[in-house]
Amino acid sequence: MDFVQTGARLDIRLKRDFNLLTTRKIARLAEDADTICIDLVRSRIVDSEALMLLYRLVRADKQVILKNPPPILDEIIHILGLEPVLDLKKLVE
Amino acid sequence: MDVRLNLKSTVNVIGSVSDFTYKWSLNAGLSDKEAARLALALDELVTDIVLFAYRDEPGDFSISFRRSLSTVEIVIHEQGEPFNLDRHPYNREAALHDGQFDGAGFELVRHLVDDFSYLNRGRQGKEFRIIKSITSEHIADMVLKDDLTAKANTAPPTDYVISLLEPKDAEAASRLIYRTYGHTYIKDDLYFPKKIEMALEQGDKFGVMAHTTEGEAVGYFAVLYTTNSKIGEVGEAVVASRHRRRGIMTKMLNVLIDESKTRGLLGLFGEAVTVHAISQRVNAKFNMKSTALLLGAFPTAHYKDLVVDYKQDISIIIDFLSLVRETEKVCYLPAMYAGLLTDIYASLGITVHNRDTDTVDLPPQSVTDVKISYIFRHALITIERYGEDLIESVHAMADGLQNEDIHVLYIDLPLDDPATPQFVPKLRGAGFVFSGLMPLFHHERDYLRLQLLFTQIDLDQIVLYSDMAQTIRKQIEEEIPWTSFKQALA
Repeated sequence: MDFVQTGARLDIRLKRDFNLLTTRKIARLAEDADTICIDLVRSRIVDSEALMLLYRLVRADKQVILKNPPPILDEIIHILGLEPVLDLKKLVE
Repeated sequence: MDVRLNLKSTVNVIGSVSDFTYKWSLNAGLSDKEAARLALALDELVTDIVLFAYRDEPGDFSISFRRSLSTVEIVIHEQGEPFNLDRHPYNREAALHDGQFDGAGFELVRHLVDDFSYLNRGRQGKEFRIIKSITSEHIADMVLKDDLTAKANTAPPTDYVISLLEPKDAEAASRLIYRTYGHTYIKDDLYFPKKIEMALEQGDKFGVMAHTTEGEAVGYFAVLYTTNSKIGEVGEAVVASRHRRRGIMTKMLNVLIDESKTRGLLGLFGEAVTVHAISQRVNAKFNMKSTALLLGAFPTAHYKDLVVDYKQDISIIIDFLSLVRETEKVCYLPAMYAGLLTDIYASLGITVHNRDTDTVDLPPQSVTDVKISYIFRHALITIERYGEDLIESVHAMADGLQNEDIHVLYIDLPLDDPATPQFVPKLRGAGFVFSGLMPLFHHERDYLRLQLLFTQIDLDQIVLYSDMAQTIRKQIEEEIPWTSFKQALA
């Protein structure tokens, strides 16, 4: 994945799915950031590990911005009933 | 095409497996959206294995991709830590308020696929199975209702042309089935022209069409590759009502037999239902020989428009036609079935030379293949290699399958393996009863099939045609009182 850190803002562009591997990398990078912007244009799927990371980031009062999420993201947030925390209307740019 | 991947349990494999699953699913006929959902379901299961099955130890697991015209099935097999799926329910409130996501992955899997099951195979490890249905346009949406209700007057005399089935014939074949049987034909795939087309293009079946000289499609007959062996199932046949009793079926079968030989098939078999004797009589007419009786192979609901008030699962007879001239065979026949199996072989024109065997030394672990049909509520274990753990493993699988609402478990034992005679009494002790001979059914080898019933089957309700079929039923009748099933009923 490509990323750029500008001050407290981290911009990430994933080259593949948002899964355990990418989640671990983003978690490490996000430690020093207040704003994390993730472009998912090349991600076909986002899995539960990714949702857990997004949940933790939001709960840690970091600003999370999602770009170009795949359609399945909305579905899995709904299945797990996480809309109160992961509100795509607020998260998606 | 069925595929098996053997993988290391590392985080790096997850993305590659998801990518492969997506592309494989598209090729199998799933839509883009459904392929992505299946890929995500597999991602969740593989992630669970990577994180929890082996913890920090190196471990291996395998993924088998199987498809039919109606479904895709993925089986993930691993031998990591013992695990109980039921003890990992997802709790939405705990996730929302406490960040406790235990069971979230499995919750997603349940919603993303049509069937999700977990099977404990004892020392052989555990399996996750996920299944998705393939959907396409139903022929009923493409045919005018008038076509279905048109009167079936006898057609005027005409000549017929038999030709090999091509993908472009798919819609005509589907229309023929629909016009002839309405919604009652058991093979649901035939109502979807796209599935017929795909099966032909991917080499899952071949067949013939009969046309009048005026070009009207009046007959369809196909052979399906439904086993992992060079034999075909004569599984789909129809002749338009207006053109029956003119020898079209026989003409089509003769062309099919020639084509089967050209394609290198060693035999053809039919699965004839036993709610009536019609199919069995047709098979006998074509010189097919009865070799096995499979109890409870299909739920009766699938015949609700055709058979009224048949209150138990449908049993089937395996009728077999050899396409090669084979007159002798060497086998290891279990003592208790040696006579009957010899007679079945004799009906196929084969003389068996039965070899005696002492107890065979075995490796600790057996190797088996398990196929589960959730639609038909039956499962099949095929022995690939005997091991000391086989009976224990079969017990574990039987328990798991019963909990999955499977009604009957079949097990196929290779008759060219000297260990088969020593395992048959043990399987009988575990409740299995005779089913019959499955000639050339796996990798061109002959198998003895036994069966374990989890549901009640009244043998008197089974209609049989051939003498050999009656003999096989008699054998089963003699055994059932000694099975755990019968004792449980008592």
